[in-house]
Amino acid sequence: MDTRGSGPLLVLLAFALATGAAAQHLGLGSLSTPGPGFFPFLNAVGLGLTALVLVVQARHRARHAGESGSAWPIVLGVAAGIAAYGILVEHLGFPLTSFLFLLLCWVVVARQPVWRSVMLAAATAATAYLLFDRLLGVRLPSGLLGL
Amino acid sequence: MTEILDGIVYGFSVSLSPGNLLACFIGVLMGTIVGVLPGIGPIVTMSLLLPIIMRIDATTGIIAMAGVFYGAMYGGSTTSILLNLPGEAASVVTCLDGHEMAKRGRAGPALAIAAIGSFVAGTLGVVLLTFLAPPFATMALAVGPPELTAILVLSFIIVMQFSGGSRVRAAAAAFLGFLLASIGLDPVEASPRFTFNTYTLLDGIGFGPLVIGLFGVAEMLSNLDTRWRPVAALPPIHGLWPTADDLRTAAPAIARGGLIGFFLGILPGMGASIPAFVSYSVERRLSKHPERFGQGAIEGVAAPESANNAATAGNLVPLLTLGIAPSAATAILMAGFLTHGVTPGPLLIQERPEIFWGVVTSMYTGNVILLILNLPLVAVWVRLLMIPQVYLVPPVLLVCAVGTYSVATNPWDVVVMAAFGILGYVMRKLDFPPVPLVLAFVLGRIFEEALRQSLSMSLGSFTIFLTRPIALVMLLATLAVLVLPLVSTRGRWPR
Repeated sequence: MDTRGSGPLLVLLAFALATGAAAQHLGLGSLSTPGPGFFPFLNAVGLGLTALVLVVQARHRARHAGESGSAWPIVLGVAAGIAAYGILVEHLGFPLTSFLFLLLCWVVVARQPVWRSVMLAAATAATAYLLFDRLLGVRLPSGLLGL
Repeated sequence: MTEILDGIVYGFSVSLSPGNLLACFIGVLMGTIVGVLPGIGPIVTMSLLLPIIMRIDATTGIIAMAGVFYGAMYGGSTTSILLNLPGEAASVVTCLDGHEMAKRGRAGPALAIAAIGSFVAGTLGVVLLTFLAPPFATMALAVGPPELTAILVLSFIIVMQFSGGSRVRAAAAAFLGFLLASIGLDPVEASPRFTFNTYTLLDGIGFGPLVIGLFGVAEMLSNLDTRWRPVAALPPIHGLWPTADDLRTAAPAIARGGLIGFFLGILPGMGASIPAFVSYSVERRLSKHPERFGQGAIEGVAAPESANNAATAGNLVPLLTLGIAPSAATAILMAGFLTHGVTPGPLLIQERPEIFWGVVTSMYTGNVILLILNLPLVAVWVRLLMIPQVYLVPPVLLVCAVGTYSVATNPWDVVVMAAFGILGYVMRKLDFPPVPLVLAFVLGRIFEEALRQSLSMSLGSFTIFLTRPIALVMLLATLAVLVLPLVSTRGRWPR
């Protein structure tokens, strides 16, 4: 991903324009009785202007040498893993989902040997379960294992 | 004065009860640990405590969270001095002279002076908080929507000016924070905004998923970039105690750092990092030998470490008296209050004195515990750095997910947290500071309500901000914050 160029800033600018239009649709009201869209509209304008300044600045600046995008697949993979954790935790239960998430992190991302990853994931998931569910009384979903 | 002394006595009776003492100990211990470990700061730790403190007494929970906040300032200096690796942002400037001292075989005195300075200035800050917060709370009752609007404008301008890096990026982050805060019901008319006709978004975006994603998950994702490289070798620590000459040199820096830290910490947006930088800069300007700074000057360690600890007490003044969170960490502390249905502000002292005085006096005890924990146990904290990151990142991500889920037992909060993790990662890559976004998100609804009420009061005239004395002073201060750095960069700043 181009992290130094103007690509992400153009996305920010587009977001500001879309939000500004949506805020206007909500109703700006008047200065004496500002409507629901008044405050978001002001901020969308502010965001749009700052994004525009940054886009112009980025166009005038040389690209940062040596910027690497090689970590992106891993970063997105881990973030997707966290999101999947949220979706699955109520179906599979806390201990099993946690074990699978940790296993994924250690095997795929950290590239640890499978047997070590299984041991680490099992020990960490069990410790987290004992700490949060049993010791601190945090209500966690039991799911398939019924724990 | 009698009321304050009575309050202190009452506060100690609350904070020294076994449960609260234990909460204070656990809080400062956790603070020290997360301060030592780079990547897991007090903001994330305090966020993760939210679901736990919901289940315990309000005073006990807030004491523990506050302990994490100021405890992290102590822990942060250890890695700055030994590894040139700040454990948290407020310890960045300590690296300059602290690590130089360590390289010259004086790691022990550097660590000791950081702990002593932190203790003395931290305690000074708490004394000032004790005596200044009650009169502040009385004055705060005179603050109406126009004054509040002007105070918040000043806060955001300060944050943008001093958050480090590009001011335009800081402003963009703040605008984005305001827009995110707009999601949900309109605070004045209660009509839905940006909810896409979904029930889930009516309550807006949760603070927990946002802050844990932006700070905790994003930090861990950034660690993936570094390929989990091992920590560098530690310099040896010979003799912990500073010489009499060291103490004589450091004492004025500690006193000045404490005062600068506290009073700057009161200003919204300052946090603990800016006071640390300012006090370091002041010491260098006042020194007869400014060339020693950056070469292992002990004042260069004493001043910022004193300032960042005193600033944590200063940060609590606007929170406890105005109900305004002046930094990301205090915003989480405010969330801790709100989870118990307690609104911090001018009436807190009268309505919930056990919380106000209990928390304030627990900070005296906490500073003593921190001194005991930090000096003799420095070798233990250093060992924490030996844990390879490969073993830390997955469990921390799991704790982030559990912490987020358990606040409202809503699995979608974890998905939202992951999305903010990506946003936080992108912001780091693009050099956008996350603090203005969080502060704008926290204060956005209060700001909008105050602005709209002010305009309604004045029938749409902005002169209302110029005709009310407190609002006018705040706007003049805003102008000064905007203009003075420009004068300074042109070489006309008064020395």
